[in-house]
Amino acid sequence: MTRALGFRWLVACTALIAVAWVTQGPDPARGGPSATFVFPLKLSGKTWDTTQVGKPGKKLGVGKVKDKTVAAVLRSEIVNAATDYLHLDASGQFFLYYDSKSSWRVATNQFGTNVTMLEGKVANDGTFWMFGEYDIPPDDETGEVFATGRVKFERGIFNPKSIKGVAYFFSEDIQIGLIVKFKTRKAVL
Amino acid sequence: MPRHRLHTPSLVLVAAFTALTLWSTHAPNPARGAPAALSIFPLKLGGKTWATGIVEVPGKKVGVGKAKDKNITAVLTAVLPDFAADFLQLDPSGRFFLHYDGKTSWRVATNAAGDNPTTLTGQVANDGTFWMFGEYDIPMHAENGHAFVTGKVKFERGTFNPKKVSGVVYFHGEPITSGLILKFKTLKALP
Repeated sequence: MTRALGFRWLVACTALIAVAWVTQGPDPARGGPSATFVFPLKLSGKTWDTTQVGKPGKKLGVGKVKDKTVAAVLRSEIVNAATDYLHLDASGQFFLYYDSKSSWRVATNQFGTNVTMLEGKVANDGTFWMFGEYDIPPDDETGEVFATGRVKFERGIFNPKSIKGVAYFFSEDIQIGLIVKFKTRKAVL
Repeated sequence: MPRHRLHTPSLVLVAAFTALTLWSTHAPNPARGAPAALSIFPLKLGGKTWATGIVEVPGKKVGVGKAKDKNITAVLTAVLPDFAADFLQLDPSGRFFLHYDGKTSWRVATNAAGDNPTTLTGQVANDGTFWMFGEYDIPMHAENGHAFVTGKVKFERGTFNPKKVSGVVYFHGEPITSGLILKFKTLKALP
């Protein structure tokens, strides 16, 4: 339990990583972008340790997710059991790979390794629904991910300029829930 | 005869004891987070729908419609012909019902009996925040739609029995190129 509590914010990062992607490529003919766009993410939100049961309705096992803390954990500057559930990386950030209007990926690096895929759809006005499953390291544990929000396109084309929204994560295996707001920083690729 | 007279009350006592034992073993147990029994809530819904297959000027709001409780009732009761009618389990109830089976499993159906339900699984945290994921078996389509529901459960005082539930439903079905974002809240639970 203590370990799970300690990992709450880390798991939050994990959940974001789970933002997924699709195997099908960009489809400009249907309004998709012609290349993958990689955005570093800024995150903030809350984590829940759902194993904690007390007085019904009481806020219990709830922690905060902050960008600074996420960075410190990913860079191993903070020793925490949550480290086991994340793909640590010197970048100290999560990255969103926008492959198309129906497929995204999330990882803690910008090189496309250890990615979590998200599938769904971006509507014409930029509203999106993205579902995925995060493969929690090191074992076979998993967690469900859902992300929603809005994509702002570049003028006249469907290339993403910026994205913001909320990512939701819950894992029955590790009994951790997350609700994390995110927004993209300037694209790196 | 005296034996018979004794036998009847004995049976009653045994039955009463058995019932009491069963009740007590299934009674609410806040420590374990278990609700006392299934609660069925009619739902009030309202929000927007997106026809995600429509592509126009990037960023333009196209193919976006409103989903109102009245319209939903009209569609479910087959009073109003609608695109959605082919993909829903129509029912004279004219409503969606949330079957709250526990903190980790819910079902949603267009009838109070729970026929043709969509199962949602996830978790309700101690403070009532919840995450529920599910797949909707779209009629006439092999591929399912994905649903996610989040929000808050308000518990009855001192127990984990749900008093009311409110939140947002997110749905996208690739086969029907439709997306939904609907706010919902429960009406009074059915007796």
